[in-house]
Amino acid sequence: MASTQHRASAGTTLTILDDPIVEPIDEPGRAVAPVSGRAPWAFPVVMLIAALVCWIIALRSIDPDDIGDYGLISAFPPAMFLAVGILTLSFCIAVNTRVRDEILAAHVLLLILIIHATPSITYGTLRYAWAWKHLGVVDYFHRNHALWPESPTLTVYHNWPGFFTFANHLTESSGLANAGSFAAWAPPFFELLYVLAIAAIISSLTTDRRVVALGVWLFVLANWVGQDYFAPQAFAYFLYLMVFVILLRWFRNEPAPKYFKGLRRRIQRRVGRALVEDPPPPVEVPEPQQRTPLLFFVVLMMIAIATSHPLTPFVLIAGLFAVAVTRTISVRVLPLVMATMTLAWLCTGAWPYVSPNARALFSEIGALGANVDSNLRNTSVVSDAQQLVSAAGRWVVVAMVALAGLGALRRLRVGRFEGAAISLMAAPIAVAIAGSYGGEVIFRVFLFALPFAAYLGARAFFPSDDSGRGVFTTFAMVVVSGAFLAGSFLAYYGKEQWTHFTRDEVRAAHAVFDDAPDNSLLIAFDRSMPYQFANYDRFTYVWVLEEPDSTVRRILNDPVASLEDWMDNPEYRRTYLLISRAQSEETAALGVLPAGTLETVREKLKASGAFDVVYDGPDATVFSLHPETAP
Amino acid sequence: VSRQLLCRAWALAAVAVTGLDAPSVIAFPVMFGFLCFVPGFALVSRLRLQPVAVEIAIAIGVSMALAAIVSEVLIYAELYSAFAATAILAVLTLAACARVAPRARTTQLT
Repeated sequence: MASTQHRASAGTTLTILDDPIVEPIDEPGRAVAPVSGRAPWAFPVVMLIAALVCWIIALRSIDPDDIGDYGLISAFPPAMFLAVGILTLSFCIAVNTRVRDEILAAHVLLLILIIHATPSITYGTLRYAWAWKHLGVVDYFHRNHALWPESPTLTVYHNWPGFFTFANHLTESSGLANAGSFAAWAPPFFELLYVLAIAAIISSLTTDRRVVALGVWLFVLANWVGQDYFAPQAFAYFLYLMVFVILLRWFRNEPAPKYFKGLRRRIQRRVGRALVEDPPPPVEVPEPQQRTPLLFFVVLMMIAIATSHPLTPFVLIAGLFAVAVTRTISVRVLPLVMATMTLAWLCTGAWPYVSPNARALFSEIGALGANVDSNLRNTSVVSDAQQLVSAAGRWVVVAMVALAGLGALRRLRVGRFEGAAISLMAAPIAVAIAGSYGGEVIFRVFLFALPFAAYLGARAFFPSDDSGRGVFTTFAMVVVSGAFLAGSFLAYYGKEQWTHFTRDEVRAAHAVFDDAPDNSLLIAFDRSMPYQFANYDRFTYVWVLEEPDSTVRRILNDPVASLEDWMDNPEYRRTYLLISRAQSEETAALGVLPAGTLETVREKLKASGAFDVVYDGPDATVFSLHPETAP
Repeated sequence: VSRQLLCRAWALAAVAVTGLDAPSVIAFPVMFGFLCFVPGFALVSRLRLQPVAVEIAIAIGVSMALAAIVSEVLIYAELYSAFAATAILAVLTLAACARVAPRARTTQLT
């Protein structure tokens, strides 16, 4: 069978298919024609304003004290649901019309603000206990201008310090005392960056503006995993996306010349008719003067990733390997370059962490089932509400994968094999084989697969340029968006009972961390509290519920005597015990302790008079043993 | 020209607010914009990439990567200070503003 060749407009010759039943493309790089008619702007703009007004009204009446069994959703007034409902309806109608790109972008922007800025605005405090820890690492760099790679706690952050050095530079050069004043705004900030990057990625895969808009929309709807807070993962994830923005736009082979032809031929025979292809998007061919700087940017981002986050380099290696082996990109040495960088960093900058943990890390390699299972909570012991929250997150994952599969199949039916998107969606699974990543790997895999799954999901509605123009498609988009919204709201907001902290809890934590002397001891029942955000290196930490069961039982049976015994320890200059509302909420909701247990302990300790009460508020109490008993 | 001027002015402003310990209300927006955008924009502007949204995204990515790497190198070299890190990024920005490369051509590969 003779091969068909076309000379591209600027003189580049590529072999596409050697099957004559596929028609050549006559309109290279044409923009996709939107539906006919005048550009409607009034309806989406009015709807957009209505959604904005509803959201503002909702913000005024959200009270964090109303957070209940279903997290922040319990505190949402009807105006909040009306806002997302109006916005979803407006977007799904507008995406299939000639409405300006800026209006579609405004819909996505408002969705990001509604989902990710609402907690920042209404709480007034930083969410997530682990984000508070990250403030502590910045605080350490701020005070010492040095790393502490052998630190007994937070070790990993000193071994991959890129994000923290960046945050410290911003904090210190801005004259701020700590990063707490801006960290709460990290989720909307990083989500905006992700959307910018993902729009660029999708627009390098298609010229159909509807697919770009819907792909980005689906990403925001389904991204419930909450990896956009003040953390190295958020930073490295954006850089990961940007690597593929450059590679897919300027270093792409399209179509992949070798591997997919046989598969495409078989599909065409099965369909039994000539398949019509929509044109691939134009490839920016860089001039020699541009090629080197663009590759330099890629390498720069790869270095930042390798030195900022332990997991993302491995996902990037897998992704680069996938696009190299499928010949999606022309620079096929990059996975080797990234692997070399990663190995070099593991053996140098991260060696203080890798060396003592190597045995444990290597023992997880290959145990895919165990690694995935370690991420999934045993829902039989949690409350009914938390069972629903947990199920919602899993169903969003399943639904997005199913939608992406449908999109890939519908693309096959119109003669396009989405090799790049499928390989990049599948590549992160490789890291689940490599380790459990502290029990989080399955949802990190979902995070890295999501941009490409969202693109394929959008293709389920718009498999070709001239499809999906009818009312049914709009109706289907509304239904699917509504389902994702419901699932993601539950999964994303469903744990706010203990991932958000009241001002009282924050004041209690400051009472511990602000002025503690060196060599202090902090005891808490679990980690659901603001902690380690300042002077973290002055403390030794004990988490009661991580002790053996017999010890926990002994403390719960006689908390005054047991804790007094622990805290009356001459090895420490000062000892603290912090009991808070969030700890109580988490342990009860997850079935770790019966509801009310920690309140009972708190009251017994207060009534005993055996401890100094350093701070006592409605949501938290800090006990300290009489300082004079410690040396 | 206006892009180069913007980058140069912003770089000098960043050095000034860091060196003079400007109040946070002024320093934070200047430094946030500088660290997240300006050095990368100065470098990316040389390439005249299209479309602008992609150019901005790359500028942000390059700036953040560059800022992280510069601070890391200084910390590992035990030479870190906020002023030194800002000054190095400002020098890189000013150097990147010196020359402009030609624009990419767009080709349809089919």
